[in-house]
Amino acid sequence: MYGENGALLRTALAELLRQHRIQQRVGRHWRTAPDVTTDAARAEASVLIRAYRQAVLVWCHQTAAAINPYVVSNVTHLPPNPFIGAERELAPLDSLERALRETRDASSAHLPTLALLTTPHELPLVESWRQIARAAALAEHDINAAPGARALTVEEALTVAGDVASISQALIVLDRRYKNLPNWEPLRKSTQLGWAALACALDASLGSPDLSIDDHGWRPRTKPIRGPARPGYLGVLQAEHNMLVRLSTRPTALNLRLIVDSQRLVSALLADRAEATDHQAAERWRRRASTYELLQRQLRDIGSLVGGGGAAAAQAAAAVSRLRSIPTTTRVEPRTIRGFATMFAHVDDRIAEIVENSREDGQYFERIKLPAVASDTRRLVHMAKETYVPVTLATQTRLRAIARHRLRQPATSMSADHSDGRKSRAEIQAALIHRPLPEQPPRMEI
Amino acid sequence: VLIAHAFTLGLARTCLASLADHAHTVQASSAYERVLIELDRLHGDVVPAIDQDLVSTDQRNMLYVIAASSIEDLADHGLDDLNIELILAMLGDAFDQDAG
Repeated sequence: MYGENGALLRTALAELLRQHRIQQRVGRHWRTAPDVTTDAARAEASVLIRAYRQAVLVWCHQTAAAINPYVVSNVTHLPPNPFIGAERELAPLDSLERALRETRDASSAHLPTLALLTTPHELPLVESWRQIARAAALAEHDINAAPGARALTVEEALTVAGDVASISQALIVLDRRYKNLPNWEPLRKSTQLGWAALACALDASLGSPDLSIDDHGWRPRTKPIRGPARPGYLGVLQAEHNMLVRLSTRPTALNLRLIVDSQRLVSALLADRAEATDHQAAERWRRRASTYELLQRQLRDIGSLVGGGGAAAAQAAAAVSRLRSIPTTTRVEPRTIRGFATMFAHVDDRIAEIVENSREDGQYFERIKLPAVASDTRRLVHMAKETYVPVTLATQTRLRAIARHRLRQPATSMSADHSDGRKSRAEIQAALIHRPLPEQPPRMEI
Repeated sequence: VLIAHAFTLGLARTCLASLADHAHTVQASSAYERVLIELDRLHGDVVPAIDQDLVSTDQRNMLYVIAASSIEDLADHGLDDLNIELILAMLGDAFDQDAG
């Protein structure tokens, strides 16, 4: 995810920005102490740092190029006539992208090889640079035009532009600080890059950052947990997880009904068992059981002819049978309750998505009632009663209302918590403007 | 599906849905629901909608009797006898669970 890799990049750069006296950090102590490293080793460290820096430069440029189509600058002047297209002005991000490209092309450093990226170095300074280069390599497939990746919003793209700008500024500050290292090559056109980065950072800071970008990007594929059933409640969690993974394919209406039934049962049974440990969780799960009961009633008149979901329905049945086999006296630990809460949130989201998209996909259809015979027409032949159905299908509307208002969780715990992203962004800004860290209160020792 | 078959099936489905809605426990309701799902599965999910106008009672025993007799009548419309017996057994279990 961009959140993790971006935070790693910013935190490590902020740490480097707080380090001065670079010669000492590569092992040269002048006359205060004997040198730890030889001249050749220091020159080698310098080359390594330049290679790692090149990786960050490449990431900055590629990311700036990737987000450029999504960015609408906060200082763009729109034409008064909305029917006339705005001519694209040279936005700050364009200048930054061009400056980054020129600086990258002018640098003679090579990109670090995989061996360099993965081999730890004995000097902490070089090791920090290696971590930064690793983060840049990992962050490459978070933002850059990955196939199938969703489009960014303008606010998200501007947030990334702000990040790229602050990282570029950090590279320039560090470049000046490292100028006395042997074999060091200063960044070409660093003044131009610095001004472009400053303009881009100011432009990004005019709007409010959208930190949901931190959830964007590559994440490992979820896999089913194989092997024998885990003992106790862990086995139920395992089955729920596997069901969620198998739900990636659209289930048939029958399998969806089986899954919904299992979720209702699991919630109701767990609520009774969790009552002693966590009353609030038990209440939540009772509410969830009643939601699934409503959904189940609506789904009785929904059918389908295509779809899968057999494996998911099997896992759902396994979850119920495993839960039933656990003695009712077995206590549900608070940690297990949290696990179930997380899992239920994901399952609810997925089922809500399936139900909400059912209309657009046209995979599910609504059953019709049998035609009743009109016996009160006083004719010889009784005809079928005519019924008029409104255009808006009532069942579909009710289904979508349940999915939207009762299954969807308000964005609370996991997705909206971007504290790491906030902290690392604040850290790199503080390090850039050279603000000292808040001092710890003095400790009294006797 | 002919109209007589569809009518019998619709009646059975409506009774099962009512039984599930008025069950005393979640487990019993779920058991009725699974009978309904099994019935739908046997018909390849091509079944008529639930129509409350078909049934004029909400007494549990009456609903059970109508559901069971409708399911038995499905044999006249080409449903396999063994499948009917299995569904009736499921329905009996659900009813016992509800009564207990």
